[in-house]
Amino acid sequence: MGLKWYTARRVAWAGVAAFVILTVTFVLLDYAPDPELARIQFRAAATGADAETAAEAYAERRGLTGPLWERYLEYLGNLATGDWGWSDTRSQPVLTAILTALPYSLMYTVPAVALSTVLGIAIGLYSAFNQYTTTDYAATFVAFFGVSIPNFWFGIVLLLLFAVQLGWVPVLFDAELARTRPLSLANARQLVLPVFVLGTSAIASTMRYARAEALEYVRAAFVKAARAKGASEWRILTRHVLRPTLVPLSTILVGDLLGIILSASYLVEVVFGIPGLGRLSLEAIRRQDTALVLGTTLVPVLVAVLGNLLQDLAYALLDPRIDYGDR
Amino acid sequence: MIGAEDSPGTGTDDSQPADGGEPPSERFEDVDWASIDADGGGRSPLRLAALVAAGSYGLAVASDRLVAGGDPTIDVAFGGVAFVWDATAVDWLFVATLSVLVFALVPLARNRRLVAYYWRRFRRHRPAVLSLAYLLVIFLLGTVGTLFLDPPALDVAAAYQPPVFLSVDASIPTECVGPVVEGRCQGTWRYPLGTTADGKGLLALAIFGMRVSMQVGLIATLISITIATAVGATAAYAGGWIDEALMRYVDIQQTFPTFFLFLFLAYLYGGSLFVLIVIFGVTGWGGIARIVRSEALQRSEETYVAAARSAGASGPFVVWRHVVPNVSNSIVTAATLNIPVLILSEAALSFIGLGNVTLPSWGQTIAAGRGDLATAWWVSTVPGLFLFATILAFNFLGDALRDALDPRQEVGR
Amino acid sequence: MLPGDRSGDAGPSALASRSRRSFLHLLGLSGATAVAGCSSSQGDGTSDETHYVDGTSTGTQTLNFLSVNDTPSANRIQLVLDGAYAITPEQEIFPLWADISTDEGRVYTVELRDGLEWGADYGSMTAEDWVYMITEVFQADSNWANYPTPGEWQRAGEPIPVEKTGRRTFEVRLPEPDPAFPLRPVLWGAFCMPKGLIEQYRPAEDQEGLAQDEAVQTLAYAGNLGPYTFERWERGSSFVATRNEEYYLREVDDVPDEWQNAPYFDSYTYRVVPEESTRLSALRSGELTATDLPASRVEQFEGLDDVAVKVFPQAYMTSLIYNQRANGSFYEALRKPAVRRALAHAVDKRQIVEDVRRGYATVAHTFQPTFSKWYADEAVRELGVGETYSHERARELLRDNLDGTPYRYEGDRVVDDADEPVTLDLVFAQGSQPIQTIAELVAQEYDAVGIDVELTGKQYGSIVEQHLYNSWQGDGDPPWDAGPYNGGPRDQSVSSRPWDLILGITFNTYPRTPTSIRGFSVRRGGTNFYGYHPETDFASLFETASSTVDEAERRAALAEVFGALSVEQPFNFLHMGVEIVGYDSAIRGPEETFGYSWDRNTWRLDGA
Repeated sequence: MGLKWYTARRVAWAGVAAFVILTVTFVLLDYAPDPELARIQFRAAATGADAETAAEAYAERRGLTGPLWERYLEYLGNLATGDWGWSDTRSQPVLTAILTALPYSLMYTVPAVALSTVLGIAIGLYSAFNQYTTTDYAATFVAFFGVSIPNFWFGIVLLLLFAVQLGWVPVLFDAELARTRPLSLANARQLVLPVFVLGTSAIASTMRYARAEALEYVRAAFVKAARAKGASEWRILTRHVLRPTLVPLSTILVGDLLGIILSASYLVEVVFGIPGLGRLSLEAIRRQDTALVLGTTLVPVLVAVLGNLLQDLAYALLDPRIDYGDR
Repeated sequence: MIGAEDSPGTGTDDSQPADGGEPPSERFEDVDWASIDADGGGRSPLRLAALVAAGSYGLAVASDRLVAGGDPTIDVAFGGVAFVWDATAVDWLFVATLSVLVFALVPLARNRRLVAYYWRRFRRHRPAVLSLAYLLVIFLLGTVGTLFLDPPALDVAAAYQPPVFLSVDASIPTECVGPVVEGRCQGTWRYPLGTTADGKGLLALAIFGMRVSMQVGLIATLISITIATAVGATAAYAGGWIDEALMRYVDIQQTFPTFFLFLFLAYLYGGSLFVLIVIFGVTGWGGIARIVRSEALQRSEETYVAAARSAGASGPFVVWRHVVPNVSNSIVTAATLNIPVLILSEAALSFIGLGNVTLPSWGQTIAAGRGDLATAWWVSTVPGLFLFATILAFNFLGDALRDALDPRQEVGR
Repeated sequence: MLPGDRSGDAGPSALASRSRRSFLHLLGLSGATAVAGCSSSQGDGTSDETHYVDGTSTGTQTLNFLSVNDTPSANRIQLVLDGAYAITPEQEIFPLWADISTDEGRVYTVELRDGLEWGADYGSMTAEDWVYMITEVFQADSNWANYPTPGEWQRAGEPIPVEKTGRRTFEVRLPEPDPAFPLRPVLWGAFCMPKGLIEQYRPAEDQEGLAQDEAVQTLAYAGNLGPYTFERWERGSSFVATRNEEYYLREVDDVPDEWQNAPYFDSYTYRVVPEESTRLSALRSGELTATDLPASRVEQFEGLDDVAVKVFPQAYMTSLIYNQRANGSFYEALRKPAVRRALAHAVDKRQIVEDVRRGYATVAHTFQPTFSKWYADEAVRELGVGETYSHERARELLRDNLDGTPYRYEGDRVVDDADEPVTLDLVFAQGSQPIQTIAELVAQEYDAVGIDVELTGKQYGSIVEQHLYNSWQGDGDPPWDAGPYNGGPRDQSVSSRPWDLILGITFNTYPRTPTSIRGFSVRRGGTNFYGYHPETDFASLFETASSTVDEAERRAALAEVFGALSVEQPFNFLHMGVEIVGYDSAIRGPEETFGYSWDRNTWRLDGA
C-alpha cells in the first residue's frame, strides 16, 4: 500500500483521463465542418466536375471513410502499438511531427520559465519584506507588467523596435539554425525576444505565489525568533523564508511550464514564426488533421499527468508527514 | 497553517502605522449573507427585495424574448436624447450578474463597522485604491456611458486619423479630417483618440470595449465561481467517492484544450460573445473549485461545522450556511484574479481570428490594428493601453483584497 | 480558413479552378542582399551567391502532387518540376517539357522534348510515362490515387481517349472540339511521375504507399526536369530548393536566351511566417525578398528605397450574393432582376475600391475582368458608379418593382406583408478586414434606402456548410441535383440556415477560358448555390462559345453573355481584386500583368 498503490492509481487514472479527452476530441473533430473539403467541392463544382467524387477522393486521402467508431477503434489500436498515425497536412508521422516541434518549444520556454521563476521569486520576496512601500509597488508593477500586456501586441512592437529599427536581432526565426546549432550566439539572439515576451508574462503568478508564501513565513514564530536572536535580514531571507517557500513553489513551476507550453505559447510562436508545439496544434486544428490534433492533445495530458505524479512523489519523499495510504 | 501565529496582540513588527485598528470580532467571512432573514422567517426586506428583483427580471426577460421580438427593449426619448436599447442575451446575463453583485454587497455594506475595518486594511495598498477608482470609472463608462453613446460608426473616408495633438504622414489616412500641415495630417477633436482602418473613432471603440470587457469578465466569472463553489464545497463536505469523482472531472476539464472547444463551438454557433462567455464560464472554474475545496476541507474540520451537524442540520444546509460563507474570502480573491485572465483570453482569441469580428471589444480592435503598428500605431495601442491598465488594476486589486481579507495576516497589523 | 490566407478575402484561393492557377499569386524572388539574417547560418561566406526568400503565411501539406489541392504546395513543387507547358500573358503556349498542337481543335498532339531525364534511375521521360499517368492515375476508374480533380480528364463522364503515337508523342482525342483546351488546367502545368514509380503501387491500389514513398516525399524523381533541386523541407518553417545545374532547358535552343541560363538564383526558399506584420517587418529588414502586402501598407513600402511594390491584376471577383432560394427573408423580391438592379444602384462601388481597397482593386460590372481579351465594353451595363449610384434612384426603382412581392415601402422603410420592417441577414467571411468593412458599408447603404441589414461574421467553412450547401427539402427525390451547392429547384432546395446576402466568397472569373463560368450562371450550374434563374439562354451561348473555332463567333457569344449578366445582376459584382507584392528593389523581371509569374525562372537580381 502507500506510495506504490497511490502511484499505480494515479497512472491508471491518467490512462482514463487521456481516453476520455481523446474520445471527446475525436467526436468533436468529426462533427466540425471542414473548410478544405468545402473548397475542394466548390472547385470541382465550379469546373463542372462531380463534387461528390472529389469529396470521396478527399475522404479517402484523409482516411475519413467508414463509421466513426470503426475509425476510432483503429486509431486506438494503432496508438496501443506506438503508432500515433500519419499527419496528412504535413506528410509525416505524427510522432515525428511532435518530436520535431518539441525542441523548438523547449528552446524558448525553458529559459522563459527560468527567467520568470527567478524574477518572480525575487520580486515576491522583496515585496513580502517591504509590504506597502513605494518600492514594493514598483516591484509589483514590474511583475504585473508582462501579464497585463497582450503577448502578441508586445511581440510585434518589440520586433518593430529591435529587429526593424535597431537591427539588433533578426525578424525571422531560423529553424535550421536552431536545429543545427542550438547553443550558438546567433540562436540566442533570435530567441531573446520570444523568451523575454513569454518570460515577463509568466512572472506574475510565480511572484504572487512566492509573496503569499513568504508573507506567511515573514511573521512566523521561527522567523521572529531568528530576528530576535540577531540574525541578519539576508540570512532570515535566504535561510528562513526562501527555503520553505521553495518547496511548494515546485508545484507552480510544473503548472507554469505546462500552461505556457500549451496555451500561452501559440501566440508567441505565431508572432515569431517558431515552428513549435503551439503552432503545430493550432494548425492541426485549423486544418482538421485528426491524427495530429489527437497527438498534440495527448502530449499535454501526458505531461500534466507525469508532472503531477513526479511532484506528488517528490513531496512524498521530501515530507515524510504526507501519507498516501488513506487517499 | 504552519507557523501562523495564533495569539493576537503579540505583534512585534510595529513599523506600520497603527491604522489597522482593533480587529473586530467579526471577519469578512463571518458576514452572514443569510442572517438578516434569520428571525424574520424569510420575509426580511432584503430577501423580499431579492425576490421582487428576481421576479421582475424574469418577467422582463420573458417579455423581451417572447413579446417584443425584434423590437428594441427600451425606446424612450427624454430631453432630446433618444434612448434605445435592444437587449441581447448577453445584456440580460449582465443585468443578472450585476443584480447578484448588488445583493451580495448589501449585507456587507450594512455592517458599517466591518466595512470600515476592511477599508482601512485595503486602503493601505495605494495602487489598489487607484486601481479600484480606475475600474469603477471603466465600469460606469462601460455600463451607463454606453447607453447614451452611439456605437462606433463606419466612415471609410476617415480611416487612420491620428489622435488629437498628434500628426502622421498625410499618405496614411484615406482623407485627412483635420488640417494637413507640411504633408502631415493633424489629429482633430472629432476623433480625440484617432480612428481605425475603417474610420471608427477609437474613443467610442474604447468605451464600448469597456462594456464588453466587463461583460466577459464579470458574467463568466460569476458563472465560474457559482459552479466552483458548488462543486468545491460539495466535494469537500461529501468526501468519499463524490469528492473523488468531482475532482477527477476537474482534472480532465483542466487538461482539455478549451481553445479547441471554443473553435468547435465557434464553427457551429459563430463565436458570438454569448458563446464566448458561456464557454469561459462553464470551463474555467476548475482552479477555483480546487481552492474552494481545500479551504472548505479545513473549515469542515472546525467545531462549528461539527456542532451544526450534531444539532441535526442537513448536509446542504451546513454547506450553505457554514462552509460557503467561511471560504468566501478565497472566492472573492480568486474571482478578482480570474477576471483579467478572461479579458486577456478574449484578446488572444481575437488574435487568432476567432470570436466575433463585429464585436467592439478591445481584443478585436487590437488584433485588427496590429498590422498597422508600423504606420498607424494608435489603432492597436489605444485599446491596448486600456486593456493593459485594466488587467493591471485587477491584478493589484486582487492582491490587495487577498491581503485585506486573509485572516492569517491580521496579526500585528 | 488558414491564418492570413493570402491577401485577405477569406476563401478566394479556395475557389480557384485549380492550384496551378492560383499559385500565380504567390511568388517572389530574392537576392544576395536579402539574406543577411539567414545566410549567416550557412557560414559559407561566399558573397556572390544569390538566394531568394519568399515569405508566405502557410506552409505546404505535401510534395505529392497527386494530393495537392492547395496553392502553397503547388508553388513548391513547381520549383522542382516544370510541368508540361506554361502560358504567357498573351495567352500563348510556351513549351517547357512539351509542346501541344492541334489542327481543328479536337485532337491534340503532345510532343515531349528530347533530353528529359528522371532522377532516381527512372530513365528518360517518354510518352509512355504520360499515357500511363493519365490512364492509370488521372482517369483510373476507382481513383485509387485519390486524385483531387479526376473530372478534368473526363468529358461527359467518359475518360478522354489518350494514345501514345511515338516514343515522345501522344494524342489527346476530345469527343467535341474545344479550342480552349490547352488553356484549361488539364495539361497546362500538368506534372508527371515515372511509370516505374507508379507501377509499384498501381496493382495494389496503394495510395498510402505512394504518398509515403521516399522518392515522392523528396521529389527525388525530378532529375533534370526543373530549375531547382529539392534540398530540404522543414514542415511549418521552410522549403529550400537549390539551383539545378542539370536543368534541361539549358540544352534547348528554341527558347529565348534568358531561359537557357535560368534560374538566376542559387537557392529558392519559402519561409512560413504566419503573422503578417512579422512578414512585413522581415521584408523591411531585408530578410525576405518578396512577400504580399496589404493595400493599407502599400504607400508606406513605396516610400522605402530597398523595396519595390508591384501590383498584379487578378481574376478573383468580390461580389455581394443574393439569396434567391426560398429560405431567404426577401427572396420573392430578389428573384426579380429589376429589384437586383435597384439594389445595385444603392452600393457605391467606387467608394469600396477607393476607400476600403485604397485604390488597389478595379470596379466590376460583369463576370469578367476588363483586362480579359473577351471583355465586351459596349455590351456591359454599369451600375453603382457615377450616376447609377444614387440612393434616390435606388428607392424609386425599388418602389416601382416591389409590386407583386409581399414587400412595399411604408414611409421610407421597406416592410413585409405583416408591416414589419424588412431585415436582411448579411453573412460575411471572417479573417479579412476589408471584407468586414465592405459588409458594414453595404449595411449602411442599404439602410439609406430603407432596408435594415444585420451582420454576422463566420468562418469560411461554416458559411459553406450552413449557407452554401443546400439540399432538397421537398417530398420524394428532387427532379434534378447538381451537387452539394445546387441540390435542386430553388423553391425546395435550401441551405440549412437562412441567409439573404453573402459577402467574402470570392469567385474566379476565368479570363482565359470564360466558358468556365457556366456553373455560376445557369439554373442547374454546379455552383449556383444562390438559386439564380437566368432570363437569357446562357446554356446555348456557352455551347456556341466553347465549341466554335471561329474566334469572332466566340467573341460575339461571350459578349452577349457578359452583357446579359451585367443587366440581370445574378449578384452584385463589386470589384476585381489585385495582388500586391513587395520585392527587394534589385529584382528584375516581374511584369505587372495577369499571369505574371509564368517566367519567374528568368527573373534575376540586378547586377548579378
